[in-house]
Amino acid sequence: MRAPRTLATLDEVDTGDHVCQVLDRTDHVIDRSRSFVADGALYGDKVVIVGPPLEAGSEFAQLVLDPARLDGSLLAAVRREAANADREGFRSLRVLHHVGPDCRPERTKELLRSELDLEEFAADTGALVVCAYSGADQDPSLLEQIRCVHPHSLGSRPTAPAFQVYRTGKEGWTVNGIVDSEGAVAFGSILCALLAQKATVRLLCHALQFFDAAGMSALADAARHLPDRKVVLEGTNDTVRLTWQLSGFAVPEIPVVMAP
Amino acid sequence: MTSSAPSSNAPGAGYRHELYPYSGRDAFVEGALSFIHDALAGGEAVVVAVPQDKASLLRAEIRDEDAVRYVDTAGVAHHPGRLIGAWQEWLEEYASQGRPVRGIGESPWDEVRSPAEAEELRYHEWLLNKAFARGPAWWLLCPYDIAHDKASLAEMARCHPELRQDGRTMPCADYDPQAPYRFTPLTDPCDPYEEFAYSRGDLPALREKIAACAERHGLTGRRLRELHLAATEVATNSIRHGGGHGVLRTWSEERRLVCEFRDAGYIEDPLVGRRRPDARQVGGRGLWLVHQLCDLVEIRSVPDEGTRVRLHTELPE
Repeated sequence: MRAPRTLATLDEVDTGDHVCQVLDRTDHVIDRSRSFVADGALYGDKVVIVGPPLEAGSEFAQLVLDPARLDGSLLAAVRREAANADREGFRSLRVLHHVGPDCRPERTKELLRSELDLEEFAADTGALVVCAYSGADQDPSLLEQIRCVHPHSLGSRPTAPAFQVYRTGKEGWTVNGIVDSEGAVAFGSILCALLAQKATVRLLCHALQFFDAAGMSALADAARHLPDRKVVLEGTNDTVRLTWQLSGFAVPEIPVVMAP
Repeated sequence: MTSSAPSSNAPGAGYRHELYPYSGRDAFVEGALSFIHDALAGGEAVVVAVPQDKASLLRAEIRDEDAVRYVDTAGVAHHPGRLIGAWQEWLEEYASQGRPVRGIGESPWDEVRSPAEAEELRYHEWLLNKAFARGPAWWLLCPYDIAHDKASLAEMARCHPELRQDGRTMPCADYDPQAPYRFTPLTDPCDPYEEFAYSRGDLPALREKIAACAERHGLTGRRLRELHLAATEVATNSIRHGGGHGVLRTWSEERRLVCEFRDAGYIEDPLVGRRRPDARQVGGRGLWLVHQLCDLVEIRSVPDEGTRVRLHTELPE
């Protein structure tokens, strides 16, 4: 059973983890990659580094997957590598994803989609995925959203975000923590990204501690954002269900089902 | 019964809000029955929202039927902030038929649990004039037993444009449609009280503060979750609209936990949070939920002075 964790060092990662690592200015990409590759060799895992090409002659050049030169999606590429790893007798696949800065407005949507794909991939295949973001170069609100779709956090001061959405089982997404006005935009964006891929999204809310009106508005907006979609929330407490009803959202035109 | 006002309550006639001071049960029945009979004679429907014992008196004379509906007020009678939404809902069925409607509404004045609740019930009467000013026409009669409390009659009169006396409807001289509501000043917090200053990022800490206080008074589970939700909505308003920060005070008085939020904002619309939101509405649900989830809500907002919101939650025995 995957459970969210905050990790002090890379030594604590395990198969199936999907880790968000926010790098300090002092962290060097080559150093991080070197220790990641060494750990892979130690545990008998195949290693892939996703990111821009490293300097010519780099010791890791043959391990790099450049997203700009992929034939197909990143998800398809890592799935292919996971199948290769299995065939080649490796224990598992380790993916180190270096995410560079990008100011395009559509970047948030693309990254969320990509991270949700990687989360599903890690949960389904048992691959270890570490996504390394440079804290200084990224928009803080983007980083906050990205942290929410990683069940695991790593960094010099790792803290869990207010809420997390992560893959559970074959069909579900666990939502834990607090979805209030400060996280409602991120929650809505994540839901829209999930609903863009699947007609029915199942959210497991047993560990959802708090869900306020802003969070519920984000849920309602996301559910009716695209036609013929449905969001099923399981494990909601009676306060969440009462608030949903009181807010006027329990109507047929908002395709949300709230279950205990 | 005769009335100086037209007995027709046709759409377009506007909202009519009439105070009926009476003394004793017989006078209550006589006035209410006369109002119902007039309505039925004009083809109008009547919604009766009165305490159970009063409803029983009327039911003995006129049974529940298509045109006369006795509604259950148990969930709203002691929660003044919920009453406008309740009237919206009670009237909806008839309004959708395009049928003129009258209402009889009496609060359980002899069972009011605190002076704060009585004040909020009177304020609700005043707000009704604004809430239904632009809606479909309907006519609400508010019986008020002066045998129970004659002292507050003048305050009630200031909330009603019309007055029923000796079987006749007349303009209420004490009512001034332009005058603001005259609030009784809020009581001072009971000692000992606790304070917590909050701003962006402090909502989890604010909830922890409230939980610690609530749990000391035995408030846990569903009721605590509801208070957390209400408190978060109010504090979020402070952060978004009230200058970015506020101060929470908590104390207990007379078996109630009181959470007071103060900020620098001003709530211009006195009806905010009183009307039921619809699914398409963008925002505006926070204070509605607060009224629905708390036992009593007091809001005082003055330009240049700021806003104080008090949430009252009854404590378990």
